[in-house]
Amino acid sequence: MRRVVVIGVLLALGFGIWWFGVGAKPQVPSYLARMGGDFTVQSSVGSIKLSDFHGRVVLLYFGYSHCPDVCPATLSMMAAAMRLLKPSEQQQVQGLFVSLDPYRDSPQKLHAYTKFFSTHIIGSTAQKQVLDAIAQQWHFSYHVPEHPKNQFYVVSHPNFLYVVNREGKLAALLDGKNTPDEVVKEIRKWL
Amino acid sequence: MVVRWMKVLGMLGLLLWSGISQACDIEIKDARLRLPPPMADTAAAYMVLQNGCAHERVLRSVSSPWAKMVMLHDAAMHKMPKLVLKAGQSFAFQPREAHIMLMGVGRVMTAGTHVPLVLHWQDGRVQTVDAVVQDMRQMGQGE
Repeated sequence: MRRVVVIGVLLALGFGIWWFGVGAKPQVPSYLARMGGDFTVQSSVGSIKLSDFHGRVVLLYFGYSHCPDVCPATLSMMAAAMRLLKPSEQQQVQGLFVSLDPYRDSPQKLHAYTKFFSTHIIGSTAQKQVLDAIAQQWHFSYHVPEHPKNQFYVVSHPNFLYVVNREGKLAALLDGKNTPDEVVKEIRKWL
Repeated sequence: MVVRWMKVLGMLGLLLWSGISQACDIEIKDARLRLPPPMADTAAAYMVLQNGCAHERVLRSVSSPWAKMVMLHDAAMHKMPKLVLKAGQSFAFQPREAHIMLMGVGRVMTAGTHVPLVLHWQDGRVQTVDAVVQDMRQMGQGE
């Protein structure tokens, strides 16, 4: 009888450990399940893939360096959120900025651009075909004028801040209007 | 005699009108400009306009000796052809909302730099304001 009780207690303990270790993990919302996927972009240190950051939470933002308002505001907010993390948490988080304007934004220029906000944010871009494929995968639209009158053109781009979990799956959609504290809360869910 | 009185009244009317026109102005508050990254040649300026006039005022454009081109943009980055301010109305150009975009900025800006912005009103009046460059990176939401 005593043996049965011990086995029962061990089973209950095992289930409890499984529940808190695996079962209680946050779930990716179903409406995001079909969005996202791996891609390759060019940074100042060469090609990088989103999957290179598996094991880290990635904050991903698409914009362009000539964007005067919403991009710097969002990157400032992203950087502020990362500064609020503990150093051990910061090591598990990567910021990634992808420019949708490869005609004006070189990887070197983007390196200088993102460094202004945080050294934890990588600046990158890609050729139009690659960006088009990313836009399709990540379910957003963008527009770069094909024959602009001059170099002072505007690029329309999404204003989402994508939170990618450690497995490379899109886990949450935030935007520039979220506070750094809200972003930190979301990051910590996925660490 | 009547003609003389009409002339006097006309002069008084003109004086009164010019007095009203001069007294009525657009008050500009909190003119500032987001410090752009060192390699950027674009910047966004913000300010609050308050129409203290008894009639509508229309802002047609903004220019700056510091930029090759300046545009009024709404929150969706669409060009605003003009800004109509009804009597007593105020309007805020602010982060993530409508803003004034400077393009082709040829000078280096640092926090505290004063950048002149020239507002061109439809009635031909011109109003110059100094926007103070602010480093907005530390301000929580980038504002």
